[in-house]
Amino acid sequence: MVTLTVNGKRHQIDAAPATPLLYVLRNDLKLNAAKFGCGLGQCGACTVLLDKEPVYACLTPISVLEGRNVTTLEGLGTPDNPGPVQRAFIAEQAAQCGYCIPGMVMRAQALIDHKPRASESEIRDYMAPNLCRCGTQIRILRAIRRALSETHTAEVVR
Amino acid sequence: MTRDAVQQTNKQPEIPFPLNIRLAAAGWKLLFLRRGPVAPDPAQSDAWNRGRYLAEGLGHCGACHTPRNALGAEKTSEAFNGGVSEDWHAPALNETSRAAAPWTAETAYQYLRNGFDAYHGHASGPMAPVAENLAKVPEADVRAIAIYIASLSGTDDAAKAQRADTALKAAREKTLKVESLAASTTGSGGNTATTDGATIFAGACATCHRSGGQAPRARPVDLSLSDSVNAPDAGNLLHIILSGIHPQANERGFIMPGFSAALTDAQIVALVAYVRGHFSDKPQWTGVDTRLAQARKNNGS
Repeated sequence: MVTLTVNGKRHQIDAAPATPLLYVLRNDLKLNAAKFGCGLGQCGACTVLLDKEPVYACLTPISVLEGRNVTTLEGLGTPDNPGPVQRAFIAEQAAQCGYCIPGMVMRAQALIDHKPRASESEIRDYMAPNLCRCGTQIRILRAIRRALSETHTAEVVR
Repeated sequence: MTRDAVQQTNKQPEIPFPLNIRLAAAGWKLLFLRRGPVAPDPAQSDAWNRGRYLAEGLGHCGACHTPRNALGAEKTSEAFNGGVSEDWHAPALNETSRAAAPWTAETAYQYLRNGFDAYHGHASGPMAPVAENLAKVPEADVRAIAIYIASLSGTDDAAKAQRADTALKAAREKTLKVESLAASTTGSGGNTATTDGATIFAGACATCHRSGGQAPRARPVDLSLSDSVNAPDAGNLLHIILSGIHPQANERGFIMPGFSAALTDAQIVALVAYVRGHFSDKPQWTGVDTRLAQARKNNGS
């Protein structure tokens, strides 16, 4: 038994300790946002946040997660009440097939948390591990810039 | 002008005493600078002499692979005994080499030219840009350097190639098979579940690093052959676990993801102990936790 904390909820998981987090998220917890792309840590479709840092869920065994917080796309908002990064992706219609987008949103969230004033080259460097094969990069970058600037506006209002 | 002028105070030089005294360089040169050409060795082939000229001169391999004295000069009496570069261990290239498979001219050529050979793995850390540059120079020059480098660790004959092949074969047998992997996923090894190195290896590493590494486009080395796993210092393995292996920006190349965010310090220490214990016949490293703190500081992760 491994205890996982996902999006603030604790779960007892009955699986082998070396099982990748991605399988538990999708098969046991029915959190299907994170996608299986390559299974080798090369594409980023499975990106989730572990204690606010982006990690590949496909290469993270559940044994290492005791006492740590996992955040998936489902933890950022709901279809009725999307979070700021999700709203920016919707506003820019930043999806083609959509398979890479949950991972993109998670890495973008980490970028905004760590570097709210990221420059264009910093955005591109930070997002480099996540691949999109439809060619949506331009819209994804636009969505991230929008989310960043809305974060600044929110800071000023506050 | 489309931009307003800005006030910018120039940074003061940060070169510490006594390095900030230019004249000190004259004294250093008097002590350590060797002038003039190196006479060719008539007993060796033209290619070997060309290789030595390139490796000792423009290539300055010893700048990293030879230890330095207190004044920062290469210790010529310990040439190619192994040194340090940017917090990475630069392995010994002479007969003290710890490479599980001895360097032959052919494997050294593959490694230097392509940044990878199956007997030694990937050129990583500060060696990665070296291989990237050697991919662009004349092939004969890289072959010459390889001939010279291979000769440093003993005559490059059929017996040496045989030893390399034996090491490769042994390493392939030691690489985890899928069956033994299944056994390790139950979490054994005497550690608590969260820091069991074998379990972490099975979940985080084995997807690529098993059965000779069949993962497409990942092409990992058999870990028993990896210099980082056999090295006298855990630093290189720690750097690779933390940051992975990546091609230079906009270049083709192989990717290993880094695990600096996924694994805690205790988990990395456990993983390193498992990898060293399973894949190397060298004794366990000591002080891996301290070395890890240093590696994290030096690569900003």
